[in-house]
Amino acid sequence: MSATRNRPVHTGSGDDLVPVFCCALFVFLCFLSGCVRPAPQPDTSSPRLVSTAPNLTECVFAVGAGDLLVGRTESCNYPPEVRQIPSVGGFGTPYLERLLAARPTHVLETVLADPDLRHRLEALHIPVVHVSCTHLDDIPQALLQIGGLTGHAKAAERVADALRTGIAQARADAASRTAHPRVLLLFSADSPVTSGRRAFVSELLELAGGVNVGSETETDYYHFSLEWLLKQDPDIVLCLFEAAGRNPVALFENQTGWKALSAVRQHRVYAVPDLDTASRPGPRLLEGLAQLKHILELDARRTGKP
Amino acid sequence: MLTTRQLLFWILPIPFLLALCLLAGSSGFGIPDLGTATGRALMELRLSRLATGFVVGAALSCSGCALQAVLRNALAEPYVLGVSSGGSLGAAVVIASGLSAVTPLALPGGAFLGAAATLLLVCAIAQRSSGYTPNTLILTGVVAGSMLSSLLMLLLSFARSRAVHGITWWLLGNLQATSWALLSVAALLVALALGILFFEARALNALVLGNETAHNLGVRTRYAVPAVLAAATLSAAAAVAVSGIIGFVGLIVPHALRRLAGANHRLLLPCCALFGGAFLVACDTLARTLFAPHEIPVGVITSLSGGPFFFYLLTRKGKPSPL
Repeated sequence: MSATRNRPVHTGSGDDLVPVFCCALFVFLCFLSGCVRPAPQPDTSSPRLVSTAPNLTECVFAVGAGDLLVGRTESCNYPPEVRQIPSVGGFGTPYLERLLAARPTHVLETVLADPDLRHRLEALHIPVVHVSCTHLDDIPQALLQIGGLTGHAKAAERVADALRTGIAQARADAASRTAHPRVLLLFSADSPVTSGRRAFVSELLELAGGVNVGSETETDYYHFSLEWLLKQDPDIVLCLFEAAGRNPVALFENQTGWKALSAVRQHRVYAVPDLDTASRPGPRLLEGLAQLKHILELDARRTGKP
Repeated sequence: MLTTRQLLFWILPIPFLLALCLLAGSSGFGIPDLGTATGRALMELRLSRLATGFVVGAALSCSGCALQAVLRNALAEPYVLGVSSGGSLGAAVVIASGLSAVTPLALPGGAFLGAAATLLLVCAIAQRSSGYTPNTLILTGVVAGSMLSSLLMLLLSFARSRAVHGITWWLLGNLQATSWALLSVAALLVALALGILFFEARALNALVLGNETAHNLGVRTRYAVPAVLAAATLSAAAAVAVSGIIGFVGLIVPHALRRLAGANHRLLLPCCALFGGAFLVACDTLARTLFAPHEIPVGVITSLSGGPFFFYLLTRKGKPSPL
């Protein structure tokens, strides 16, 4: 009698346990969904690479090691076959779980949003290889580094040599030019952002024979005041954002301040057609350079200045 | 609290302050050479910036002042009903969809629509639940605001890095109106809203005592409260459309002025318009000249310069603020 009284009051049947069971199952499934198959001991003969930047992906393909790439970023779009490689996150922001699922032997990075990721990966015995790609002259070096890592040193040497020759030739061309138009590099239609001389595009512009009006500043990207721009009054405004195929002059013709710029009044506002080659510090930089050169030549022909 | 003569002593320097702000710029102090096209453009730029700053400052201060009175809450500010979140979401959608690269008017249009839609939503929900009681309004505004902010976060996490950059810049607030036409439309909306607020100044004086007391004092609260809410938020929405989110002005300027000019809204509201406008213009001048050619967000200056002044007013011996 007393035993029944002391029993916990539990009037319902086993139905009460259904939600609890469901919850437990759900939690268990949540854990399971994160599981990856235990990684087999990596085969040292052929490295498995994950790239965390689109320019590094291009470098890997440029040295002929595209088949070693097992992970890329959302931003990687060149060469086209890169689409077949699974994405492990954004540019500089890989998701650790997807990255580990690709079972890499090396992770390539040029800039990581969360520097802590390097330590976490190294704790898991996955070496993180930093490839410096900030400046123009870093690119051939980066190609050689990736070539050495993947066992494609010969091919890397060839590509790097071609780049070095192209850069040297462009430098000589730029130095021999008499006219150096002063150019504003504009990175956004919504906010006044330009770059100082340390940005890659700025270096590319100088190589093409132009002068970046923002180059007196050390920093890479910064917001400028319109008043400063009016004082500089650049010859050309170069738009490095997607203009949706429109003539970008139309954006500025009715804006206070902008419409007084000589570049806007003389319609010397140009959009760069392929932003990737012009702004990615990678093996296609000569294509980007050719674009900028083409724009400057077009402008020189239009304005009648050599 | 100051006497009328002392108040005049504070008001008189404002025109000089504005003139000083007109002379300052990142290209150097003084009147630019008006003989050249560049000089004229520089002057136009500074004038447009000054006018925008004044309109936005006046709009935010008056809006904050009226909302603090009608919601009877010292923490009320122009964005309390979710206007900033709605405006931000509208602007972010325009930037992320690439519409802003089509026409410069898309961005302010999107922001204003977002802000206005949020206000209508908040008012409709608050009215259905318990009429326009202060706590319901604030809660509805805060909840709607955080829901819209979450949508903005969602958008930001999927947007491309260039769009993220543009959205962040917009969120920080900037007083460079893209054209005089846009500025005139915004100024017209603000003038309309401030007109309604000035008209309801007596009602605001009574509403500080509570809806019921105000009703017993002869205020037709059923019309006055929604009118004040709509006008205050309309002026905030117009300001947000032109300049993005600029904090602090709408919260602190009314409090500071309540200590200087007293709590009579017939005097307080015009003071808010005048001092709020001048304060924002002065802050913006610092923001664009201190680190030229870099431009820093004006919100940094408003809180760093206004904050200490408010602490001074707070600790000064004298009658405490009635709110």
